[in-house]
Amino acid sequence: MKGILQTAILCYTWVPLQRRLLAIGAVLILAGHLGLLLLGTTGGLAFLLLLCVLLSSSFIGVSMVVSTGVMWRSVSAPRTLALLPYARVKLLLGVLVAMLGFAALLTASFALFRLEAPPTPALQPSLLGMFVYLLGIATAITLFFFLLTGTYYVAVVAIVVCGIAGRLPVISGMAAWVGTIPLLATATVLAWVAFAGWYLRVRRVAPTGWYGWSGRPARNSPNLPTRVSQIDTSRESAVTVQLLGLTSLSRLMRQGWLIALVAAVLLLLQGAPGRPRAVSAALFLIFLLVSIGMFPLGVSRIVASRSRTLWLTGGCSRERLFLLCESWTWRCLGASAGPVAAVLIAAWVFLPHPIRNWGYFLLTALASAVFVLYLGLMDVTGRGLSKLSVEVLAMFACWAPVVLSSILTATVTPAMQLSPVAQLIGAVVLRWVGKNHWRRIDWVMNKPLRLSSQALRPVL
Amino acid sequence: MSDSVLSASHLGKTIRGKTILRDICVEASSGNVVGVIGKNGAGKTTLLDILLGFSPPTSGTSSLFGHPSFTLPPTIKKKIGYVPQQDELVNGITGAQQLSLTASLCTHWNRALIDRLSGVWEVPLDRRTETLSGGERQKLSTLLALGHEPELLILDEPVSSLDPVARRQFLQQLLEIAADQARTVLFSSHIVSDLERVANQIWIVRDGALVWHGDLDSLKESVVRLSLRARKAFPDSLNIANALTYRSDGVRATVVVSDWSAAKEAELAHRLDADIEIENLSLEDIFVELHA
Repeated sequence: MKGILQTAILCYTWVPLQRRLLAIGAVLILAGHLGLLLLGTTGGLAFLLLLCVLLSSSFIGVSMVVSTGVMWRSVSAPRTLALLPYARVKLLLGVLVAMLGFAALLTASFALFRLEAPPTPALQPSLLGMFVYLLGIATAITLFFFLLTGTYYVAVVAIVVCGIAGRLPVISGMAAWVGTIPLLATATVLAWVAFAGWYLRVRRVAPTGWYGWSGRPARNSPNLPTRVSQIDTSRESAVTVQLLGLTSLSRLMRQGWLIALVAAVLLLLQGAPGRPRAVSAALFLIFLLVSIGMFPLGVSRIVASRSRTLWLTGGCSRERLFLLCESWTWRCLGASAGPVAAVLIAAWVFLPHPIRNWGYFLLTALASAVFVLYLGLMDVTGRGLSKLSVEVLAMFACWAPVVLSSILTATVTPAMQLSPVAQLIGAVVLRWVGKNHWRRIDWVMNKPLRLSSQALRPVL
Repeated sequence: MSDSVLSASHLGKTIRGKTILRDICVEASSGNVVGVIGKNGAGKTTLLDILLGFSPPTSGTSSLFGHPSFTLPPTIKKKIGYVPQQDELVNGITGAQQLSLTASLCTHWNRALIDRLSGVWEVPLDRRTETLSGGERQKLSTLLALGHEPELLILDEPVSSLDPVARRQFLQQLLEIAADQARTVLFSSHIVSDLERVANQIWIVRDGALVWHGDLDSLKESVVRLSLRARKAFPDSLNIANALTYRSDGVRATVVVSDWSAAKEAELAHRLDADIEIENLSLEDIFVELHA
């Protein structure tokens, strides 16, 4: 039992940013509830407090759901896990408990919000429906990341299956949201059972290659050169491999086009104009946009941590390294987000809209991507307090408008329209700060992430 | 012109409020093989990171070939080879491809030397890096650091994954390469017997401070174990200068002292009215006594 609970806690606290969001979110949720208790649940201030509770819960939950898939594979991979009794069962149940916690937390926040908020399509379902739906979404995202960090092509299949499953109600003409609950509940249970069946029986879970950016390993070939003198490599490709590993731009672009293709298929399945907007379609697109928006944060951190070798062996100055890393992060963003953005823009013009303001969401997501790109590049000196406040504020600033406009409101207010502009201005400021920080980059504070199986022992 | 290859003056490092290094003053001249020893977490790797310019010091200065470490120009970086404690090999490519990638980042690369060493060290260059054993990865990392024939070679725990035979062979060849062109080698290791065999200078790091630096021979002459036998029981404290450890059992006592000299022997024998036997210690014994 202890191991299960500790795994569940690990799901919420794996990466430092999660811990910070959890700490700040918990304070905000508590303050929100206290304020509502004192002020009642009506009035302008009460609405803000409710919003504060809802957004805090969302950030805690979403960060957990996104990171859990990666964490789960990482901790499942070490061979020493086999020596620990019932380790996989504990991990599996721990993750399930975390998912149930996520669904319960967000449902409770929605329940609170429903007391005050105006009725919108997203708020029509029953609380049980909301709980089941959130659990289904959390399951899909977690399993998606678990698969994505292992075998890429399986992940694409997972996207298609999850996406089509999400579209089933629309395709089959189920207009009523409530009608989908048994279907979602069954799908979620089946997903867990099928995954558990594989996870508990498989001999070894492959380690994640995502954080190390090792990419798909080259196949062994009898023609591989065995003497140094047989190979000639350009400096440019050496710099690329040193910064990105085997994840080349063409590979990223291929991934981008595949994801875009899946998105296009799903949008086509949306059906003819006039169909009711489905919350599932909105959530799928938001997930896609959030992924695009957050992608450069990971890339910029990875290239920053891997640039050390280029400083010494490559002879680059710190200023030059900043420009190099900036350039490669931009290229990665372009290669992965470009195709998705192109398909979404085409769909925006030619297809019925699954969410009303999603052109705005796309712009916000891309502005956020630029913002977090420089946020990641700036964060290289290991200054604790400033890092904490900037990251948390940035996360809230980036995604509050998206969440607000997609789920809670049907219109984009003038203040919300300023959000992408504000983020782009913020990116310019962060670039200037980042450039200065790189003159003092401390690679002791920016080491590539390595996971040890020993870290598991206290958990299990 | 001084032949100092690297130097540190009052070097200190604090990370998130924790002092990792404090007041390190040290220097190494060309042609020396310097061994850095210390317990886990003593600050060896951080010291090397700062000397190499990977991390700014919180206080003090460090320099390589007369240039501040943190802002080394490319001309100086070319003179440095570095083997990190945790290798930075790219997964998914072969050892030969890894060598090739590093070679293309360097303006000078001695292919003949690397081909020869990879054969002698039996590094399987046709295998992907993630399939190599820990020892093979370490050897490959060392090849990457040697290819451009650096004047200063810094190795952080280079032999920790090698078996004793491979370790001895590896270090011997490494030193031969270093001795060829009077290169300076600085390496940290937990395996004190290796250091004793190959290093001529020793730095001992304890709790972030440099408790000893100098010639290995001087260290071994300086730190001795005194076995004392008196006519009456020894007091609780013998008041011996630079005593590292003291154990007393009635009329017998054992003291380990640093900065020992023959002149002190007569004075101590007279003061304590005791017979003194002096025993020279191995580097491992000295290390243990310094950390007792």
